[in-house]
Amino acid sequence: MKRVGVALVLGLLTTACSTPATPAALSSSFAEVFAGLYVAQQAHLGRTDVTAGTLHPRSLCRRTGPASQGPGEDWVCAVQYVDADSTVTQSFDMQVKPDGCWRADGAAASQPAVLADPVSGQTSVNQLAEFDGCLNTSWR
Amino acid sequence: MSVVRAELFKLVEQSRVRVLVIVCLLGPLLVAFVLDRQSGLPKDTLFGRHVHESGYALPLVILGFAGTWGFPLLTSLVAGDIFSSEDGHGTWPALLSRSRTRAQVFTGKVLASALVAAGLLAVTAMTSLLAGLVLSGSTPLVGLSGTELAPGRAAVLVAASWATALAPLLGFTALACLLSVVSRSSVIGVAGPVVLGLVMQLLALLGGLGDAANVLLTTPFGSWHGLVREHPFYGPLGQGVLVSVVWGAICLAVARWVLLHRDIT
Repeated sequence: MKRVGVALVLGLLTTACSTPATPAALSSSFAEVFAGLYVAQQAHLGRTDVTAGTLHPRSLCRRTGPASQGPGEDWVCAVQYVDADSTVTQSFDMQVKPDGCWRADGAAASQPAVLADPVSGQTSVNQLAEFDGCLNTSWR
Repeated sequence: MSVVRAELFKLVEQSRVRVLVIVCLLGPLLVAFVLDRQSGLPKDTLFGRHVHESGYALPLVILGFAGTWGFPLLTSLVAGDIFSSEDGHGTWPALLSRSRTRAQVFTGKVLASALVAAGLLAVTAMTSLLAGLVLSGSTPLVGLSGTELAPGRAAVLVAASWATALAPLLGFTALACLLSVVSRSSVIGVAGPVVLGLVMQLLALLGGLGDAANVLLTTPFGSWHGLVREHPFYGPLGQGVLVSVVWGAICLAVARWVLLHRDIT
């Protein structure tokens, strides 16, 4: 019984030291959501030839504060993708919540809150200005 | 079975439970009405920024909100005094003299509480979906993987997401039953699970628990996050069900032992 108790405490302490919010996990999750939203954004603007496969999205997320992982508001993700044969890099401020979900905020210059259709002039909400995602928080 | 029927009858006769039914029926419609009248969006909640774009966003916003304190409160109001009210009214001797064993009475009360709690969850899920569709119509939903989910698939995923709340809800029902049996106080039985739920939320919010937060009974309320995606992940759901079952089994085992060994004269 004592051994089981000790094992339980040790297990809890070990899991308490690990977190799902690592740079690698966040980079992967961010790249997936960004690619999906970018394809939808371009389709909305009439460019239906853009797909997640042609974008080759790669992202790198890191914390700017003293901690290197875990929840926090000091995460930054840079994403690089290929569109129309040119490589583009954009940066997003990230907020990672304790429940494993995150929110990305794009810079207004690269991702304005509202998009205007170049042909019709109709405006719509830019899904890439602010967007959410969630990490897999289960025990690994 | 007759004990379950009798306990169900007693529960639905309570004005508190009737008020809960009305809140579960009208609450989501009221939220939709308020959102329809204002231009602001609940952006801090998942899918909050999409409530005016897709009717499938609102039920997920309500689900996220209910998971923080709504579900523990709901089940506490149902199960929190199902045992202690017998102490309060001094009706245990009369109840146990009706050729029913204590174990049968215990099982009947627990099952009745669970059925009512599950029923209220189903009612809230359906009215939330209806409220969302009335507010924004049946248009595709942008999922948590950034891709659009077609209306049919979005509806299935919304229903599945609400279904994931059943396990932790029943876990809290078991916790409410335990507190009701042990404390013999309706106040503790009703308020206890809510307070414990808030403490668990606070512990998780502090962020220092890391993966250990997965053992808290409130964490499985967020397991639907893995479902509303192009390629769902089910790890948090399976883990959440396991955690809820363990919490429920421990609470019910202790509650049953205490009730069966209590001196009732």
